[in-house]
Amino acid sequence: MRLTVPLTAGVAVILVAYACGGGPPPPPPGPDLDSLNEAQRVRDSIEAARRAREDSLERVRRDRERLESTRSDSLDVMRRASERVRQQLEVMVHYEYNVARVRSEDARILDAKLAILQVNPGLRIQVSGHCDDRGSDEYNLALGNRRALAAKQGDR
Amino acid sequence: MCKAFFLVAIAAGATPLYAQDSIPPIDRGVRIGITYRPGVRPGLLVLGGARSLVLDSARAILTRDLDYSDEFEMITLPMGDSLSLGIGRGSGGTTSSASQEQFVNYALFAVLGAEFAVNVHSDDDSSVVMTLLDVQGQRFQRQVRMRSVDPSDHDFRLEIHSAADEFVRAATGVPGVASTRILFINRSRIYRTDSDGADTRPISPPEVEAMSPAWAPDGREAAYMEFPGTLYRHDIRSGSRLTVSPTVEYQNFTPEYSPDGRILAFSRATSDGTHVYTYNLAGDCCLQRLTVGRLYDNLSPTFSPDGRRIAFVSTRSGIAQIYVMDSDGTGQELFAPFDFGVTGASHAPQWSSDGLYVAFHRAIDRVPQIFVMEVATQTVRQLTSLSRNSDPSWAPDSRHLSFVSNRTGSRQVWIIDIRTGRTRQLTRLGEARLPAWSPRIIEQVPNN
Repeated sequence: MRLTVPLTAGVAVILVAYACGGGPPPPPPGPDLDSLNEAQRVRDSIEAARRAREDSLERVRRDRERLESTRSDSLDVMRRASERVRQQLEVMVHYEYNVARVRSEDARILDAKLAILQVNPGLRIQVSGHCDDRGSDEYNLALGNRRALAAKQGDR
Repeated sequence: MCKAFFLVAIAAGATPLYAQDSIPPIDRGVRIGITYRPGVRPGLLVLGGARSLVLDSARAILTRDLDYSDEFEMITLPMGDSLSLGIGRGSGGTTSSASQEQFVNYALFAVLGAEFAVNVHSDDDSSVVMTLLDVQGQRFQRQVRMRSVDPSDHDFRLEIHSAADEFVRAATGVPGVASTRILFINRSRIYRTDSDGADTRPISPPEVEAMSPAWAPDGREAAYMEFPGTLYRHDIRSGSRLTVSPTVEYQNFTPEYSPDGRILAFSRATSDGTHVYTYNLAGDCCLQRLTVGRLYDNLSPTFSPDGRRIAFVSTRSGIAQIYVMDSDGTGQELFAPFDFGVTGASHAPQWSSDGLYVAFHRAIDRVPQIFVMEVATQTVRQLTSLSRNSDPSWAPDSRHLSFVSNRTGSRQVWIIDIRTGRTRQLTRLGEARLPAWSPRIIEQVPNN
């Protein structure tokens, strides 16, 4: 709109001068290209700044997502590792009937538990011995205690 | 003619009675060391009489108690309850009771094979009188008048049980064991039941997982273990509990009172294994360890009736067997003989109150069976062989044993008479374990 107004005014001046038949008309005033370019430059600059800001925000968002994803993966790994450790510590050691010695095939189970305990000196576990229903109810308490002691001491 | 017919009729009526005696004991799996000879036990006839809720209840409970004493040959005849005391004079004999003379047909009772007869009647609306008659001596031998005449009263049954015990004493010289109770474990809770299986109720708190009940000698207190391993003293009447102070640490189990009630022996599981300890309850002091050795376990102590010796289980030979020691821990030696490598593990010894026997269970092909060792000769006798039978506990008569058996599918408490092998089921709950038979309960003493 601002472009249209000066052009229209120039044409009107030429038409009036020809009709009067007077001296050569003064050169018509042309558009101000510099100011146009400047305006365009300003607009471009504003647009660039906006895009740069959006790009920056997008980068930050992606970085944050990447960090969160990494952290989540890390926690998941830790959780899975912890679960594996817990499962390993919970693996049962089985005994022969009325016997408190650890079977040779079950010794590796105790070895795996021992390795975990050695790298986790702060870990506390409870060792308890159990018996099936066949033995004497009260003797089973003594046998269970003996089995727990055997597991704790690595008797095999 | 009429008299001859009568005698034939009596003989015909008596024949099935003796034919019954020749039938082997119900438990065909029981091996009986002493042969049961029919007719040796005195015949006992329970007379009929007036019917009422109170009289019928008293008669039924008394009859069952006398039957369970295994001291009598219970005489049961078709229409037998029509035999009763008459009023007025007759040819058989008379005896005085209260204000009127009663006719007692002693001659008829004698022909029926009765050496004793029992009568339950009411003098008036507010009393129940139980009478033991000596048929041969033609006299009233004992008479008990009950204080309680309300069958829903807790003491009603106990009074009848006490009367039954008194009648057994009058007839045999040794009191019966009807007025006793048996503790046992049902789903981790301690229950008590009367010796006839009636009045079964829990005594330990519902939230407590308990095992190893044991009676104090006065029958008023019991000790038991509460998981994970603390021992408690439980007052039966009030339900109040006391912790046995040194047992708040470690796992402690199988408590057993000394005969004077002053010492509690028990097993304690530690990193040294399981060992027998004693604690002075009277002085609340002096925890003492009686057994040593890191490589084997010692548990399940039981005192001799003089309190000077303790039988217990030890695995020192590589397998659990029954050993004995002095009550200070000295003089430890093998008690129940066994063949090394052949005899199965032996557990749960219980010394009888007369000191003559130690009962225990021993594995036969890995299945526990009840054994009794005669202490004087150290000879061992197997009592059961049918199904799984374990954890014997003596009645105060040193004749009956309660034990756990799964012969009817689930573990229940059963009772066996070691003289005759006669066996009966005591409990009928979901399951029952670790019975402990009380001394005679003396809360109520019947008048004479």
